[in-house]
Amino acid sequence: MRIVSPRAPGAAPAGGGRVVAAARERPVRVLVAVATAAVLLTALVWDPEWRSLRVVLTVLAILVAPTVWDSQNRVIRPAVAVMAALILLALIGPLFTRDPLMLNVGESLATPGGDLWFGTDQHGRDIFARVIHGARLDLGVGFSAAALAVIVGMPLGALAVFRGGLFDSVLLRISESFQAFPTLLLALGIVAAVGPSIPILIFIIAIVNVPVYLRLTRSAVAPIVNADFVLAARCAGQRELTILFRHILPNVKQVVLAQFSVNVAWAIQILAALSFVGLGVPVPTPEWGAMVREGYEQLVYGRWWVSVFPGVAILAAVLTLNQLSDRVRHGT
Amino acid sequence: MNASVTPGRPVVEVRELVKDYVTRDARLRQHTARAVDGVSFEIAAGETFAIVGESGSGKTTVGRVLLKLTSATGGTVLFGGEEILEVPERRFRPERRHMQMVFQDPLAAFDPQTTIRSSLREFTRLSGIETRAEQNEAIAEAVRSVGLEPEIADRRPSQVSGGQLQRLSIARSLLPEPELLFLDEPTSSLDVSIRGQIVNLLLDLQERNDLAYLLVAHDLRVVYAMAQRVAVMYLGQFVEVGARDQVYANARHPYTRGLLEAAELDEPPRRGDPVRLVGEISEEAAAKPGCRLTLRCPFAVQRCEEPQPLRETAAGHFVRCWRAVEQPVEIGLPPNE
Amino acid sequence: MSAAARTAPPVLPTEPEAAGSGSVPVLDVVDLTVGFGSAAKRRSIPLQGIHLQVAAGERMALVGESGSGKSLTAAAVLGLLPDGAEVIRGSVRLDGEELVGASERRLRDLRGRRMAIMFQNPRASLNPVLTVGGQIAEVIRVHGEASRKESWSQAVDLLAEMGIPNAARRSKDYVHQYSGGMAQRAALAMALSCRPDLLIADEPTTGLDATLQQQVLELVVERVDSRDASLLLITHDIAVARSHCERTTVMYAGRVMESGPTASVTGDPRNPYTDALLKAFGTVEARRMYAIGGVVPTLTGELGECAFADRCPRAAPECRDGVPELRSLDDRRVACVKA
Repeated sequence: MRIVSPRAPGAAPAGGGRVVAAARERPVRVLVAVATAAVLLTALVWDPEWRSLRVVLTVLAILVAPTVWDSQNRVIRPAVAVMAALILLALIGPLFTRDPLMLNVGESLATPGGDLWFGTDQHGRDIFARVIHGARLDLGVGFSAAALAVIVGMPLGALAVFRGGLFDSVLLRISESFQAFPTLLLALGIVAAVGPSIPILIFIIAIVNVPVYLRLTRSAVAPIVNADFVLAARCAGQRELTILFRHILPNVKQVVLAQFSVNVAWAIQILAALSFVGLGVPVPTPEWGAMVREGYEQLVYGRWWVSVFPGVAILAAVLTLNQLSDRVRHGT
Repeated sequence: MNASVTPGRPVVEVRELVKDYVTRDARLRQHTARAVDGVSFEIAAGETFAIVGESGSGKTTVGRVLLKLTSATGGTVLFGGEEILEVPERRFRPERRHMQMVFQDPLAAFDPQTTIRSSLREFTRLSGIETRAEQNEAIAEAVRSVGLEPEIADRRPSQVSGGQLQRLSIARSLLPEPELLFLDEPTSSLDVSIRGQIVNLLLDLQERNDLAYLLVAHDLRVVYAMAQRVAVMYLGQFVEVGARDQVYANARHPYTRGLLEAAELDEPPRRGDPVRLVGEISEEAAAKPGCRLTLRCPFAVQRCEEPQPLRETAAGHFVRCWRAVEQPVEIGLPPNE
Repeated sequence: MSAAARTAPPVLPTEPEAAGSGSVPVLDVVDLTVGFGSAAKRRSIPLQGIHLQVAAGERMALVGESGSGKSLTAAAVLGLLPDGAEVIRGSVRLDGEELVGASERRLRDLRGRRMAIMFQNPRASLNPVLTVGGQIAEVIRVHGEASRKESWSQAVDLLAEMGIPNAARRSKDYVHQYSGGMAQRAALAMALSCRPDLLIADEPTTGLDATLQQQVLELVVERVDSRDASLLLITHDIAVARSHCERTTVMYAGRVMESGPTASVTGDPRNPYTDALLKAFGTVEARRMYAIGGVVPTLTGELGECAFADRCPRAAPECRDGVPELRSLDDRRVACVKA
């Protein structure tokens, strides 16, 4: 059929196709970026002194960051850009700062300015260095805890729908009892039993987040478990687990991904809260929540910088992650 | 029902099939809804057996139970002479190649996250084709057999038209070389101008491959074009079964007559007075022991409240209405043959 | 469409019958063209010069397949075009008042009082958290002077008139407690509650079963007639048009293909597309069904030829010389050079 088009012939269908492809591609790109960052950060958390790998990681981070750019390379979306910057800072920032643990009593509680951009704390430690190192720890713990929760919660939630009946009920009751239990109390119990350490913190935060993914996946999977394309896969003689991983989970990943970044933010808040009450990372490890607590007594003397800078860091990370979640959910 | 005329050996025989759905209300009380209530039929190779009825009649459930996509409550299904309802899923999986399904909405029948080719590839494994090259060859051949170019398989389901996607869905169902195809409203989501293309394609494929079709539809034109035998289903029961012309030209059950009247078919000419049904299908009527149409039927009398068996009025023509058998003239029908 | 035709407004053949009555049509759509995207970046032009007249008290069927633009035409008339769509040219007049470019406020007022819509899904026009009777009473109260009590009893009467048994009791129910057929009856009561001059029914029975379809359509026709209102019945089923409407307009690919009295359009179609559509619905044959080859085109730009030419059994070279104008032929209008 002949159509008189104001544009070059064939331009419209080709353009349409590209838009469709880009829309489908974008969540995947974000997923790749987030997952890679999570892996890298986890590695660093386990061994912060992994010097030999720093150069490699820096290069990797630079490679990963562009994948979260807008697919047509037009706009750098603010939330994505800020998050990428935070991750980059966490990865390579520590290479350029002073030692965050170095005590210098002579320079204690110095006001921000000069070489000391954020000032120093009561022990004379460089707050800028501590905030940057803290980014690595907080983001690392946040991402790894959320990732662990997804890895466990998502298949369990899908399986709950698939199996139904008793399996579903038991799983739901267990997850409810976890959610009903106050996070801090649970953490207190576990930390009291085995002592505070970063893997234990990741484990605690992940455990309280598993029910979130379980329920989310369950409600996302329920409407599609009897979808025609799932029936078709059964007609093809596919096994239950194959159908689950090949057809069902890929169709709910966007919903779950949207929750992921909210969850990282939440994990950071939990970690900060735990550190604030003294159950978090052991001193003198730089961690945002712990730093806010340390500086809190100084506030009354007008020495705001000790706790405000780590506080702003928490705020920035949490807000950015929430923004990111909104973007993923609306597919923009 | 054994008296019905079926050419050739039956591919599938269904006897007294029953399917209950159990639900719980807010107070956790159990409610049992009988979606299929004692349905029997058989389909021969090369034959189309159609089930017509309004939504809520249970017609799609019959097909799904037959394909073991949902469990049965009672009855038997013999496929190629062997009982299949008792076979555990694990052992039945490879046998699925013998019976396939074409869905109402082709867009819902394809996974939106994968290409059409990868959906089709899953089905090639059923017939034991393992290498990628051989799979692609089988896919190309299947796509050509439904009148499309093989390259179209590399697109996503959302990138092809509804008619093309339904052709691809048919191609997919034929990949494992089944003997029985369950066609669940294969044309009702398509445009009128495309409907005929799909019906003709299905008819050609049936002739070429000697396929048995179970057609579930509410479009009486499509059923007329495709079926040799027709069953009319209402609230879980067959109310009339017979050869296509018996049901279309000489409908006996008031429900069949009402359906034909509503469809406004010009052809074939019908015998008997037109019947107008009032009201709409209501599941509460399924709990009654007698005829389930009494509230909507212009001929309902006291005796209709008694249980109604399916009775033969002519060779191979069964009706679940005592008045149609005993008092045809009183309800505006010509006398029985 | 040629450049000359685009600059000068097309000379319109007058509708023979509408002109004969001498009155202004209730709905008068002239050369309505609707596109998606901005003028600089037009993504598609799904309506390309629609002409449609509905006289007072007349029942007009608008028949077409999906993609023909029939529902978009209704949306344009109601001033409810989806985001990104705009009227490129043409006019829509309701009782002589121009609606293209009218303020949103004016349109809202007209939608309530002068024209009403019934959707395919009755639950789309009824609020699920209000009782059925309550929301109909509210419409009556807003548009009239009736008191709370009067409006309620009018709502109950209206529901009873639409054939809802025990209307007094059922009016206190919510729409999810209604069956499909009952919900469509309630939607009709809602649409007629403000006494519109024009009821637009967009596939009102497509989701319903055949035996119910007939009941609901007959009710719509009867109730609209008893109010001397006009009906624009949008349907994909030309058989529905044949049994319920006096006049029929057949659309294909954003154009009107044929328009005129239903008896002549369906009895003696002059446009090959109308003929094909009738055959697809009509003839019942064993082992074969009438099929129109090809697919419905996607309208990415303005048409340069007859949209049906690729699928038409009577296509000739002259069919590709431009878009056929909608011209008068005996008692109807046809857009086909071969007619």
